[in-house]
Amino acid sequence: MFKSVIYKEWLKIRLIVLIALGLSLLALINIFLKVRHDILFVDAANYWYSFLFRGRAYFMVLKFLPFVIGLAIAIAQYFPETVNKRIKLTFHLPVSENGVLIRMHAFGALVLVVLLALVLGLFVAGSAIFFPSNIIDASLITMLPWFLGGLATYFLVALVLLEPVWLFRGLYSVIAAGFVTFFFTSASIGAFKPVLLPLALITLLLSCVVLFSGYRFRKGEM
Amino acid sequence: MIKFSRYILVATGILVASMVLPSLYWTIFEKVPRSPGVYYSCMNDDFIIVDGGSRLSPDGKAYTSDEYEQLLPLMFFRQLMADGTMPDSIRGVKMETPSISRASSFYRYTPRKLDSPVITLWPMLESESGKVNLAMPDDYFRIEKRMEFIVARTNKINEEKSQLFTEALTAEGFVFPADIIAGLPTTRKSHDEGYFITDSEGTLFHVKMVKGQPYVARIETPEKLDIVYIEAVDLRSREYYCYIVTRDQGIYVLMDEVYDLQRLPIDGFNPSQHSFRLNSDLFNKCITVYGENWYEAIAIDDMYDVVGTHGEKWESLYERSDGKIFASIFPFEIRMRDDNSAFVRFFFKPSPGYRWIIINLIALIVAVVLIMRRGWPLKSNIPDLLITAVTGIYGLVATQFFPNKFSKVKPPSKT
Amino acid sequence: MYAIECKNLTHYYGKKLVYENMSFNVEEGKILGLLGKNGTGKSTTINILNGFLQPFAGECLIYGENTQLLTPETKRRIGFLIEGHVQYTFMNIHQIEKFYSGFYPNWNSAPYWELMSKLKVTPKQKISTMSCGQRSQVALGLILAQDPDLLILDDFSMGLDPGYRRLFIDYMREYAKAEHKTVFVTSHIIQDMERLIDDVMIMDYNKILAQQPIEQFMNTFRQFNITLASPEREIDLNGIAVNIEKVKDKLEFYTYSSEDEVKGYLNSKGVEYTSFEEKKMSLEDAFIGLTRKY
Repeated sequence: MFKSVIYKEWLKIRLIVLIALGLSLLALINIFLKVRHDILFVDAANYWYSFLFRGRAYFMVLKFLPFVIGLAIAIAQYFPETVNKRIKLTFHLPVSENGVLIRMHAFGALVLVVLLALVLGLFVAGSAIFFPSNIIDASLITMLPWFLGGLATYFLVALVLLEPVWLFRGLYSVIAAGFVTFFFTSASIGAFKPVLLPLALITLLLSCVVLFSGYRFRKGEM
Repeated sequence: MIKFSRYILVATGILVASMVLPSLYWTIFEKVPRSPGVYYSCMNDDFIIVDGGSRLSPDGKAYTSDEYEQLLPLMFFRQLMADGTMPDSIRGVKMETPSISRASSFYRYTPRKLDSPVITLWPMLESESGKVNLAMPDDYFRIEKRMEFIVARTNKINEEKSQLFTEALTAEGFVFPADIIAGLPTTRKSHDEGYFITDSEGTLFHVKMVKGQPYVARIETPEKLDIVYIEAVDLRSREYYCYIVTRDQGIYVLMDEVYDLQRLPIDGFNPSQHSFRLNSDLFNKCITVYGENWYEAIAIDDMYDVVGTHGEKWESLYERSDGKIFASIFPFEIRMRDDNSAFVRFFFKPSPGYRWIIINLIALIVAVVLIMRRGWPLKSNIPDLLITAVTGIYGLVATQFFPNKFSKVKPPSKT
Repeated sequence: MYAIECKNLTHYYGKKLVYENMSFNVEEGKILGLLGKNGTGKSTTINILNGFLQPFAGECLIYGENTQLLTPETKRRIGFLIEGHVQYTFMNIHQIEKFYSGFYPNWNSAPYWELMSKLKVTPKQKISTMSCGQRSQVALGLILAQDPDLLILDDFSMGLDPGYRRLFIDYMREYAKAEHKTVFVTSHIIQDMERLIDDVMIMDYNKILAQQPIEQFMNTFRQFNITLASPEREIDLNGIAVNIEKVKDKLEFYTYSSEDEVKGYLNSKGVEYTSFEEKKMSLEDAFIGLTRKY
């Protein structure tokens, strides 16, 4: 039964997932080709120096990638449900309304997490060729907020899209925009270290907020 | 679960509101805080305070631009020499450009330096290469389980060099890993003195590379110092290597060659709240410690004896009108950034006093009115009202943005 | 035994009353048509029935369960056609069949494929590129394959050309009667509805105007065309008429009373007329007579 739910969600997002995967790979290839090029041209020690003491990160291309992917998957998954209020079809399926929404959402989030984890994994693998663990650790601390931000974007955009009333869609968007901005605050390399855990925790809690929009829809907010 | 999801949204709303609304307020209304600079004149043996555009004596007398420059000849010697007004000698010392500039230095400590992310990879320069110019090495070191040099080009550890330095450190009793590593990783300095490093037990070491060989000195500190911060300096006078800030509220300089620790005559220095500026010239050092709304300046001579002190205090943020109004509107604010830290955190700043209670009460009344107008029973909205009462405007915004629809609604009265 | 029981429904949109204390039942095995002009609360009723709207007061039960809290078992027994034949248009007919079949243990794809074979669509064609009529057949086929006991069809005729509408109605009637299904259907197009429904429920703003078996309604609700002798005279005939449309000396007189009763009533009021005839009505005529033209 939930295989069917997953089948439907996959039909909606598969194209986006493939595009996102392609884009991510291109971004990663771009990063490491550029690192290799620069190390050849300016000498590796100088290149390390500019990272360590000038704060020049070689992975800035990845900054908004998780945001874009999170946004795209959320739209691909939930926009078709809002056209003609098609989510009614989903809620009418012979399963619990919350259960089906949780599973749809969990599947989307899982795909996003796998995709982002893959990007991070490939990033670490690529970085390990050129840099020692100290630089990779600092890079990960710098990038993790962006990746958590992508996940938070997914959760909040789902909330906004499923909300039945336009006024509240607007209000949610204000809060969502304000909140997602935190993750992308410019800061020096490694500056997010103390808030990674709180941000991860809040993001985890946000995973269930789509139920609120779903509930409002079912109670007939117009 | 759904109610829970709503409270998560309300909490998120409060978080966002308590960051965005105050930052909006400050952007519009914040007044420029005072940040006076303090200098010590070798001409009249008194302080000069530079505040905004004005230069003042401690008793408030204003100096003209020319007077100011003439009072600080060691700072403005190039200008005075160009004007032809530079004295030939001061205190019997002949005024010559090299000696003046060699003795001049300016260092600044802020709590931000203490609370900053560091990537513990450092270049170990050759201290005595015999060349005029310093050169960057092709490797970087880290001190974890041992001291390791990683060659940048290959991203591989130079085992031989790593072993050499690790053994040198161990021989001096270094306990791995390192805690603080302070140096000047640049070639733009007069000479290289390597690094000042505390080990995991807090013992201070001086580590540099001399002719390719490790130089390690264990620095015996008179009493057990709890060092929280070290900043290596580049003094052409080679007076001291670095200044050291300790948890016991002291600032020390580590004297060159002899490794004597000289405590600066400052008490009650809180490294995570206070900053200081250390301004040296041929005759004096002027140390100014800054708090949020005060400074204490101390002038010392070359024997580190106090020759003068001066201090000032002014209105703190929440004593000023912009801060007072803020504290009567917002019960607290949350910031991601703070002047005293380079890290991103959720800095929670409660507003002093209880003037915000009035606005919180108004927010509560507005919430009650809104709930009653919608025909919702007050009883099932008690948590919302409590949230609004405690968090004021933020709670009102958040609970209205994510409305509570879990109570049975009364039909509207017929008109 | 009732498939649907709605008791004392009251609902508002903001301050606008949709209806108050409305009750109705649908017997098992019957086809009930809920007819009403736009904005009279048809969709509100459907939304309450499907649990997408919580009424201010009252409740609806389907097979004894409150529609706000339907169990999956009961939802499995309900086939739901959303207004406009809304379906997942990003799927093709194979994908959508695969999707729904996972939810219903009694899934019987034969009637679905039978309907699909009549459509001129390619196997990979997305539903979004199909015509409205083709989409209606997909939606219908899915409901038939689901094999529900109760079918709720919201404005099934919307956007259908007459051929598809007739096809849909005839197929549905035959299917419902053969399989002993209960059907709750709404429509604002009345044409052809008498071919389908057993019972009729006609809604006006805020209230139900009629709720009875269609035959009873068609037999007792009558239209008399009367030509008045003195049309300028003000007359009050509301005691017996449900609705009167007067154009000059012509009177369209809608009532549940018989010809004799009407004539007697006119005489008692001293109304003179030059002609009096009963007009045979279709359901559509009766609907307009009951709900007025505007």
